[in-house]
Amino acid sequence: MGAITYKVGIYVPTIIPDIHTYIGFGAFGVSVIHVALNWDALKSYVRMKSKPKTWRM
Amino acid sequence: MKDRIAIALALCVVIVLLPAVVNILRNYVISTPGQSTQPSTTTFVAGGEVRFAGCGESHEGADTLIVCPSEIFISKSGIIVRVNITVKFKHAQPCPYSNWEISIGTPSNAEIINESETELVDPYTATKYYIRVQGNGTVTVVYEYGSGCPYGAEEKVTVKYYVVESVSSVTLERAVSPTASTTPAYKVFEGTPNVSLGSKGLQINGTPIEAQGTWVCNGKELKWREALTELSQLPPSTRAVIEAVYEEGVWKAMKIEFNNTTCVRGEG
Repeated sequence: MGAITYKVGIYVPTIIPDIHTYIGFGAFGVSVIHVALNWDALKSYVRMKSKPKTWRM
Repeated sequence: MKDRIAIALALCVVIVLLPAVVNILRNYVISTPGQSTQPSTTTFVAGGEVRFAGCGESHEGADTLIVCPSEIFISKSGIIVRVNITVKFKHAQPCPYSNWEISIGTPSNAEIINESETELVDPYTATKYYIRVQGNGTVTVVYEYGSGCPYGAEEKVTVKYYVVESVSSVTLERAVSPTASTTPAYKVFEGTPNVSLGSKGLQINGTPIEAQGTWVCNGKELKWREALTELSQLPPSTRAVIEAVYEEGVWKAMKIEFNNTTCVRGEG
């Protein structure tokens, strides 16, 4: 008995719900970076959207 | 462009660490100092006086075992004290490893009288034991995690109890000090002794002190009856110095000195 948490001292998730929580927040955090990298594309898309609908992409 | 990525990186780190921070905060809240110290309280129990202080806490794993009080001072042997045991679970019950157990060891110089049911109020559990304290000693409470539980193995808290001469002389600082002595109270008496063979001891300044067993007086081994008879045959104005310890509600002489004679309590 006495798993990683007990040994390391800090909480290490070993059951599915907790692993799911950690991975979920991790994915959300990485998505913020992905939005930042694609910011320019998002910006031009929104700008185009606000123009009359004659543009073609 | 670069600023954007830097901001995004910072935000990403904050979000990813959020569940870990919540865990740390939760552990901190469970083990705040406010819960592990209780003001020292004196209660008057029929026939005697009890003072107890502090709560013992064990938080090696994810759950916390809290036992209140952790130090008990009583003025008379035989007083019944209630020991409250609480376990704060990190995960709501029932959890996948729910065959946990709370147990109490065999107390030294005390007797377990009653045990209550373990109540489960998520996320707490509470058990009460009533122990009759007879002398100085300790008892250990153990909480064992369920088999296979990855969050810890065992939490242990030891409750110490002492029989002291005067409960009101026990100060809070002494009560919560980890170096509180478990040796019995000790005092040196000086005065003219009144021997009482019937009560197997003597009285000095109004305090009865028992003097049983064998005694070694100036190298000579005597039974208590012989030693006390010798003491009683001295002129009534003889002064004696007696070193005694307070154990199980009664003063016991360890050393008696009078007129160039020193008697030390022997074995048995």
